[in-house]
Amino acid sequence: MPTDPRARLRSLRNPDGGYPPVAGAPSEPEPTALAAIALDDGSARDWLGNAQRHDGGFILGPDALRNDVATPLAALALAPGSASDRAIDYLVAHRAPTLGNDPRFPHDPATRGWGWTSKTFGWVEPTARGLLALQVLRPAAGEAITDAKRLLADRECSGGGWNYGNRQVLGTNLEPYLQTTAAALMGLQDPSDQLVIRGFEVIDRLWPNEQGGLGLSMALAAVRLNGQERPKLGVALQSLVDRTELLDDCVSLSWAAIALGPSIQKLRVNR
Amino acid sequence: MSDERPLHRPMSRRRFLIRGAEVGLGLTAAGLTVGGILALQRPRPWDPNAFPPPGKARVAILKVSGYSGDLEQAVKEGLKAIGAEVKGLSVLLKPNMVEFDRASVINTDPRLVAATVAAMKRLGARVVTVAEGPGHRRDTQYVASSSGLLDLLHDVDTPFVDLNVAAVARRQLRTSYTQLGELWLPLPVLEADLVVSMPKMKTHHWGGVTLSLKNMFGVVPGRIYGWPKNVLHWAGLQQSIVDVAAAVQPRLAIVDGIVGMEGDGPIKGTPIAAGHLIFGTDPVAVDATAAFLMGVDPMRVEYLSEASRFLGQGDLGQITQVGEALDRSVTPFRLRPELQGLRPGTAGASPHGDPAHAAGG
Repeated sequence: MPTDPRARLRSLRNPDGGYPPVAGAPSEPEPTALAAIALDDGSARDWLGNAQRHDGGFILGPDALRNDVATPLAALALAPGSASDRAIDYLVAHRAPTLGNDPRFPHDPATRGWGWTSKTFGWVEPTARGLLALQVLRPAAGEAITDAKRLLADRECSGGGWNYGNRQVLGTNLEPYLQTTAAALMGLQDPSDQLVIRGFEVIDRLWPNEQGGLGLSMALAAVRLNGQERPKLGVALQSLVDRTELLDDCVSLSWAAIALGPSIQKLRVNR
Repeated sequence: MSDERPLHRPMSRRRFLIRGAEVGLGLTAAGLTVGGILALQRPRPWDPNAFPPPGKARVAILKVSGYSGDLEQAVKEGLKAIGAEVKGLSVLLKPNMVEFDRASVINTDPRLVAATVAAMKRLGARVVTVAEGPGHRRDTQYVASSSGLLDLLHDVDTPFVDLNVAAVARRQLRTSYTQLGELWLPLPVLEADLVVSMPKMKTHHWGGVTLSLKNMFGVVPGRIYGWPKNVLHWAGLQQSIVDVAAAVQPRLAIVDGIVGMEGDGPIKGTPIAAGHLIFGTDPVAVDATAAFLMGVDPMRVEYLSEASRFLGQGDLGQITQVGEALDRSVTPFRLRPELQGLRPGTAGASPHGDPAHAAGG
């Protein structure tokens, strides 16, 4: 009998209705938002509603360190309406600053995306999340969407796929990773785009050798969101869930539940 | 560059470089170096009540040629040589498992980690945990399982904790090399009686070398600070190394120098058989010794030079090395051309400048 990641995830819900990053920890915005999407969990949405700040954002980290990277996921998790709209408003208003070019880590200094924390410059996974949320919830946000796509195009590794942010450091090309490449492909969701085509070549090359819960789950989600099929990838993910329950990591379990189940529709960009 | 500046860096690179130049000159005046005189006049970005002046230190260098021998016995010998006591303690081992590449030697060898677990248990540790928050991979399960670490820990009945997702608590910093002011640190680290830093002996393209102090970056949770520990790079790599190490204060270090990484470390370098394990209860002394063994002047490594002012003993003359003779154990690691200034007797220090925004690679 295969293990249902949804059931395992549900068992990790905290009494306050939110979800922890890992079993036994306090609830946090990112795992709660992903679990709310994966399980269509009203209590998780309630927790998010209570965690939302007046400015619309979801902050993890105090004072000088404002990690607001869960905000796009929370916007996607919340029911359509005021709270979700305010989260998107926050997202549009809080993009990362640009950074001057530097030959040590070449990039286009004109590109803008989102960072892990406020006041750091744009990185692949936060930018892909922001792009995903805008394309699903506010496709009219033209400039921010265009900028995010430009950033992802600029940071593409040589040969395709994505590392965390840089494509080259000190003259050395960086390798693409499965998980970050999957994040970018979820944000882009355009199977005709050469970036996406090259990205899936990287996914196909990496996933058989990168048997980790987060990477496989996000890779399968990226496959489905781009209208593709990789049955063996789904089998590999289910097998890993059966064997390890993804170490009770709520973010990994949520992505597995999304990738293997019907809730992925909530992340689909309508064209 | 945006007008919206990131977290500032109070300790400028120039000030770090002055320190390097002072040590390089090696002048003396009535028994006190010129650098020492200037050091007394420089700001002290640490709380003197929290950090007593470094005293003498003891470091053990053991010759170990490979990972297939009796590593548990080697670890026990190393711990005995430095007088480390673990009986009754809850011990957290922090290896360097930053990334996985089957063809490379990026990580602390899992066989050494498992052998250290066994040794700690044999010596009476109350509980032993292995913990890491990989900096280059968000998918910790991939790193920990592909490297073989999870299977080996299963064999010694020891849990693995992913520090990137563990529960955290806020800690005020007692140093101010960065302006972070505080860090959110994982509870398993804060609650352990003894944190053991177990780095791989590697070159580092920004920091010069990465050893037990730099290894503490893995303690900082990625879900809060980003990947690859983005905020720390933004706040200044060298400064962050000192602040994080001072916040965690590992009380024991075991360096995996059996096979290290030279060249374009910490990820893209190449293996080098150095043939040593290095043990000590003062991580600064261990790192200074290990750097010397790599053919690097420890006082030219900026963060190590700073850490030796308050966090531990960096003066090789104040460190008693037991086991293998220091001078006869040096295996010069190949350095990137820009880092040649770290060699003893050369002019200047690392020329990369502060990587501030690079964060990765």
